Amino acid sequence: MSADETEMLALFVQEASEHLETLETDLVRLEATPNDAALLNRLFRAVHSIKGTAGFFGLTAITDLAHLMESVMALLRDGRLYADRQLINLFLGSTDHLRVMVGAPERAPEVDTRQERAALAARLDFEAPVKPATGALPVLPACLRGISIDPELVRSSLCNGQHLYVIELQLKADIEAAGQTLLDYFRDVESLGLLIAAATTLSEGDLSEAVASELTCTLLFATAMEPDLLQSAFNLPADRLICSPKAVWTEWLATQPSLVPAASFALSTPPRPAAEVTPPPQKNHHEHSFNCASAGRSGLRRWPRRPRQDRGYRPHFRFPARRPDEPGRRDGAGA
Amino acid sequence: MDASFSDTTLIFTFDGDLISTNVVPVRAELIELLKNHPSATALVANFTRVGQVDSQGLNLLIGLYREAHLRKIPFRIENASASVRRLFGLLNLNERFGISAAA
Repeated sequence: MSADETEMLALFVQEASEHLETLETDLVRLEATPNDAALLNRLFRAVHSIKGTAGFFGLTAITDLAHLMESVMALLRDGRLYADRQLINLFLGSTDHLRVMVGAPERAPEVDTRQERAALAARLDFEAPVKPATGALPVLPACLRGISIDPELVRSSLCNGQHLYVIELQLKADIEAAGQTLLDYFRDVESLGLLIAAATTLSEGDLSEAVASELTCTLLFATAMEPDLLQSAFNLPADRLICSPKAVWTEWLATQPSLVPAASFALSTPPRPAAEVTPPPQKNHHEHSFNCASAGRSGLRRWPRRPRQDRGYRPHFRFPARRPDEPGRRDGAGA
Repeated sequence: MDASFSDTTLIFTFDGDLISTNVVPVRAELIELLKNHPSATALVANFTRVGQVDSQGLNLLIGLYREAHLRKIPFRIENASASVRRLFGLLNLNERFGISAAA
């Protein structure tokens, strides 16, 4: 192994050790708050990072275990599995094994992880029914309470296997400071998924104080995009773009009187035809684009059409202002 | 900005977009108008000439909405263009602003 490789491996050990610390701390927290979306996202990212870097070094023993952990955590994050004590203990045990292997990568294959891998694989084979946190039904995030949310849109999004995100936008800092108009920004948002609901927090003060303050808008957004990709696209910190556990919405849907019980739509249910949620055709262009999104479009169409160099995890995809000559530009009064 | 007082309804007709470059003088005009018409029983913002609204423009409108709320009188926006109505709709402000369709 060259000096460079040794140095890089040392960096991996250091970085992975930090992720393992995060894993351990957050797994303990998870027991108290099994539906905490931010926590589940953080756990997922930590193990995802370990897996990715270990794979780069060809440390397959680490990659294999981390991959299984990541897959099970994805089920938790998506609300398809419940984090009971047994599962948390399994994660903690697996984390201990990872720590041993990360501490001595060259001897990682000697660590026996068969029991943990078998137990994790069993969780993948059998997704236990979703259960709410003990003593409390899942409730909507506080910022969404009181907002009118169309349960049909939520249900169709879940049936289509999409994630539901709660996104907090600061209109001036996040959008206008980047040189975009609000309407153009929202057009781009809608090209990535379905905007189910929004609420704007009214600024304080009377007319004499108006103008300067920041306006915050909370979005409920459905998309097939994974959290890390969407976070990159929105260029928002993780605490302002939360992937809301599906269990929360499943429970919420069960409380909606006009719908069939949530239990009757398993996640394996085939997607409903888009026509079922497509509103009547609209006359003007803007409303048409909105309704395309409302029909449950995956929202990813624009993504692959971008030039190759513009794809991926780059800050460029912060909904840049369109150039006049850019294909697909939509003209019109941009508010 | 044009203003008219009809049937105790105070109607503001903005000269153009409500954006950061002009929102401060517009606000000053509005404050003056409101001071001169304490007996108005409704506030109406005429958007015939408004093509664009940014966050500062939104703040101004929210300020107007609050002012009306304090006076316990209704506030509404009239003749908003499709794009402006769409923006208000996206931000869930349509109902609060009593948005009506463009004439």
